[in-house]
Amino acid sequence: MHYLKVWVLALFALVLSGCGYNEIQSQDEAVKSAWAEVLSQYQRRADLVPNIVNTVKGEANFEQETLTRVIEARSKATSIQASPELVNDPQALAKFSQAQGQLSSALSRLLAVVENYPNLKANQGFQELRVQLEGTENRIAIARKRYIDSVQSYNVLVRQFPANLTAMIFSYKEKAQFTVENEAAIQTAPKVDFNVPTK
Amino acid sequence: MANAQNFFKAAFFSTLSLVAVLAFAQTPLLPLTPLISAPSVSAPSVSAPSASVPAVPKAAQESLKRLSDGTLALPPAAPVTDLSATLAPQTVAQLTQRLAEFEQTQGTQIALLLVPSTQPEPIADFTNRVGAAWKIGRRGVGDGVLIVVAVQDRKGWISVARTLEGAIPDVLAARIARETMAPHFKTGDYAGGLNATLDRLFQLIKTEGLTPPDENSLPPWALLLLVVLFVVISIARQHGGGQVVGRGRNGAPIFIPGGWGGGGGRAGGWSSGGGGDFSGGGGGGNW
Repeated sequence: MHYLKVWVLALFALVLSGCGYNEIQSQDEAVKSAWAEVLSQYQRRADLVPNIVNTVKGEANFEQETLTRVIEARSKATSIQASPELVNDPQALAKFSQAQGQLSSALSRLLAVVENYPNLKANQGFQELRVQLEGTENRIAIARKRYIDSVQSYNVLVRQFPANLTAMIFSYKEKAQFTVENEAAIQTAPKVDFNVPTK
Repeated sequence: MANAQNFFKAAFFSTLSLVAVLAFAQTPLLPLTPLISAPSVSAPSVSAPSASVPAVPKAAQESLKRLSDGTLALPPAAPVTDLSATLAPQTVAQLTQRLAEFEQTQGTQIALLLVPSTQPEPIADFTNRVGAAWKIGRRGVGDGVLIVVAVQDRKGWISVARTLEGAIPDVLAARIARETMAPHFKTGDYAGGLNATLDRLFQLIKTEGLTPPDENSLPPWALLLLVVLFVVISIARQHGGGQVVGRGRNGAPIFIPGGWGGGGGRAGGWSSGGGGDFSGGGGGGNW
C-alpha cells in the first residue's frame, strides 16, 4: 500500500511537469515575442524613410534614380503583411527578409550618393536623420540576434529527449532559423576598385 | 516531547516562510553583514557615501583580454573602468563619487568605460555588447547608461537602456558626443569632457521623472525574518515556560529604526542592478 502511494505521487509529479510541455510553451512564446520585436524595429526604420526622403528631395539636382529606388523599396517592404505567424512559414519569412534587405541596400546606396552633395552632408537635419538611421540599424541587428537565440533554444528543446516526444505528440515542429536572402552572394568578398571608370 | 515537536514545527514553518519570502523578494539579496554590523546611530534616510573612495581594482587593469575573434573581452562591471590608463586616479575617484551620488539620489546607474581601442569591432557594437552583459540599471526600472570612450580610435559612444530612450534619444546622445565630448577630448582634457558629459546626462535624466530610489530602510525579507524569529522565540518560550493559555505577553514590540539600514548600506561595493535592457539605443561621435 505504501509503494502504491509513492508510485501515485511520482506519476502525479511527472504529469504535472508535463515532460517539457510547459517549457515548450514558454519557449514558443519567447520566439513569438522576439519576432514581434524584430518587426517593430523594422517598422521603426520604415517610418524613418519618409523623413529622409523629404530632406533629400529639398536638395536641388539630387540623383532621382537613387531616391526612387528607396521609395519603392520601402513601399515593397511595408506591403508584405508582417505578422507573428511569419516565423512558422519559411517561404514567407524568406520573402520578408529579402524585401527588408533591399530596403537596406537602397538606403546605404542613398547615403553613399549623399557624399557627393556637400550641402546635404552638412545639413544638420540630415545628419541627425543619419544618426537615427544608424541607431535603428543597431536596434534591428540586436533584435535579430535575440530572435536567432530564441529560435535556437526552442529548436534545441524540441529536438532533445524527452521533450521531443511531447513535441511529436502535440506536433510542435522546429522553427525556421533566420537566414540572409542571398547567402551565396554575401559569401563572395566585394571587389574594391578605386580606379576611375573610363568613359 | 510535545515541546520539542512544537519547536521543530515552528522552526520548519519559519524556514519555509523565509524560503518563500526569498523566492519572491523583489530586492536583490544584500549580504547579512550590513544587518548585523550596522552602526546604532540613526542616520538620515539618504546619506552621502563615505569620504574614503575605493581604489581602482587591479582586476580592471588586467582585463584588456581579447576573445578568439579579436574583439575585446568583457571587463567586470564597475562604475568607472579605465583600461587605457588615460585618467589620473583622482579623476577616477572623483567620477566614481559623482556617479555614486547620482545613483543614490536618482537611482539611475551610469557606467564609464575607457579602452584604448575596440577594433575590429565597431564601437557601437562593443558598447551594446557590454551593456547587454552588465545590464546596469535598477531591477524593475531598467535605467542604465553606458559611456564608452575608445581613446586611440578617437571615438565615443553613449549607449542607453530602453527606459531612458525617451530622455536620451539617439540624436541627443550623438549631440552630447559631438558638442560636449569632442571639443574637450580634442585638446586632451578627458576629465573635463567626461564631467561635462555627465552634467548633461544628469540634467536629461532628472527631467525624465523616473521612479525615485528606495528609501534606505530594512529590505522586506529582513523584516519578515525578524518577525518570524520573534514568533519562533515566543512559541518556544510559551511552551517551555509552563501552561500559558492564550497569547502571552512577550515583552515590548520590536522597534525598528528607519535609518538602521542607511548606515550599513552596500558593504560589498558597487554592483549592477541587473535591470537594464540595452537593445541598441544611443549615439556617439568622434573627434
